[in-house]
Amino acid sequence: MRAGRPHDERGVVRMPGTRVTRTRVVAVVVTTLSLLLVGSGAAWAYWVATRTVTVTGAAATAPVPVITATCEPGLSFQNDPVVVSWPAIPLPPGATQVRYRATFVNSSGTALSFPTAGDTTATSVTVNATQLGPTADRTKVQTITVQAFYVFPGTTWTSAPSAPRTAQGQATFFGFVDMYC
Amino acid sequence: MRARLIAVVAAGLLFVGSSAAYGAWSQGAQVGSGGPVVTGTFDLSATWLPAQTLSLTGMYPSEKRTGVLQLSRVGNGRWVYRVGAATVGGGTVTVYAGPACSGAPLTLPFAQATVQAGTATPQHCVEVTASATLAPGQAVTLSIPVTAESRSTN
Repeated sequence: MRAGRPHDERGVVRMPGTRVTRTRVVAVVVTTLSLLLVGSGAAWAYWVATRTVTVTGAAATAPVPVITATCEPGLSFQNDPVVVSWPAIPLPPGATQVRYRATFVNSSGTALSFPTAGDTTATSVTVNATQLGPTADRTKVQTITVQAFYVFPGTTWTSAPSAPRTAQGQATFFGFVDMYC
Repeated sequence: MRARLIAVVAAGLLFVGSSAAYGAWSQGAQVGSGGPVVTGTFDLSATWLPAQTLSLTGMYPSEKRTGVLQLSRVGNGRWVYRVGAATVGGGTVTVYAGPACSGAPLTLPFAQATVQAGTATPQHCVEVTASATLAPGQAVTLSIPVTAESRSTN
């Protein structure tokens, strides 16, 4: 224990009163500046505004063809066909082709497609009774629809079936089957 | 009693700090005008230019649609802004630096660090490209967050 410094009962050196006061003053000043700084920061944080720009839409739908069925049966000594035709649908933006397929469904539910291999870019198909399956099916009522296929580089859109038309084959005296609409 | 006194003093200092900050911001505006300290408001407007509104209706696969988005400050003071990451359904979006859809696109999120004048109306071309596999009737949506932040007036 050195002489000249105050000590408590346990022999620990006590800090002089003037030094304790100085430490408190420093602590108060630091705390005050910190609070002022925090207050300033909080003030700036209020000057912010956010908006969200939202746009909603949807893809187009595939246009449906409008079809016409034409039959011209007569004394031609051949199987007179039904001609199914439709106006060409304009090419949608980005599409490379519009193709079509006609479907004949007879009264028994048997379906046949024309052209028989896939679809076509033509705007009509001509179908004879002899193309409508077995002889027994050639005189049945045919319900005819056409679908359009829009070919894009990455996908193909298929339209809903057109409004239906009907046709039916009738056997002639000479054994031919003419289509009537 | 002492704790309560400390709490009251701390709250008072926070308040004084806030006021001092506003004072500094307002003082900057007064140096040039010489007018009194005034209160103000701050808000952001984000709208499509009338003749160049973005429409996502009736889109086809891989189709591009564009619109010009205009930002403007509502209220007082200068400002900076950020264009956040866009959310798009049924396609992709590209945002350009100006009103024309050309040049290098912005990388989102994008922060415009240049302080804008109070009357500035920055414009950005927004281009939406529909998905190559978009299905008929599929929804196409776009959402772009934009944030403005005030800056001192001097």
